[in-house]
Amino acid sequence: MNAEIYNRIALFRAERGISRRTLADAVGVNPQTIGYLERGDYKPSLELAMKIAAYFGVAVEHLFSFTPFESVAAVLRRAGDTP
Amino acid sequence: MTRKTFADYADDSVRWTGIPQLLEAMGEGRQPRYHLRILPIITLGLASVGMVLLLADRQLYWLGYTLLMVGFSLGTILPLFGPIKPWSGARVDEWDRQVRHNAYFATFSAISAISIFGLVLLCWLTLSQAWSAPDSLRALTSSAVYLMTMWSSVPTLHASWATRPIDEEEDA
Repeated sequence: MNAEIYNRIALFRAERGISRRTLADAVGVNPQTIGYLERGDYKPSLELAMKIAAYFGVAVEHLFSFTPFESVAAVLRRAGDTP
Repeated sequence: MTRKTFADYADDSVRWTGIPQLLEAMGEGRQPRYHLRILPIITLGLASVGMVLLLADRQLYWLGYTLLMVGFSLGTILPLFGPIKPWSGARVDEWDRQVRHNAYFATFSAISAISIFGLVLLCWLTLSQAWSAPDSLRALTSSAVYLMTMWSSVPTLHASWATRPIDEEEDA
């Protein structure tokens, strides 16, 4: 089985204004590896996934998922529809 | 203000070429790395055509050998600038290790297949063409050079096509 793994590292990074290089240095990889992760070209090891989650202070499942994450626009639209 | 001597001008001209900076970067394992998608194909193509010529016709031996050596020489440059980082000196992370693992697995598979085919072919040629011992020896040494060319070229070829280049964006 070769399941797709989706992530929202780019979203967390953009939200906090962190460069790829800063994140890469914090978790001990090269900046290009963060780029490949964000593009979905590479599945991280459990160790790297946990390091990235710990860096952002969230649970691993908030960053990585077997199903695509809902887009920010969809979440905002849903929040706007809620009375 | 002091005037520059001839030696100073010579030093400036060498620095202008960028070679000292490149050598320094290579020593620290931080030279630029590229997705070399075409150069390994040219390298393997030259070496393969060379092997075919030198095995097919004794008259074309030196032409074939020259093409093989040009391919071999180009092949030695590929690991320096290709996407696969060296075993030591550079900062290698899990992505680099996976790319290297996949590339060398493909390389060993290709070399194994070519070696088996080549050994059978050489045996058949030796018998059918009634090669002398020196002829067989030349073919065998050329085959070794061809396999070394594969060893240096195929990992770069595989890694360059298996991954897509990534932009540097805001990495500064």
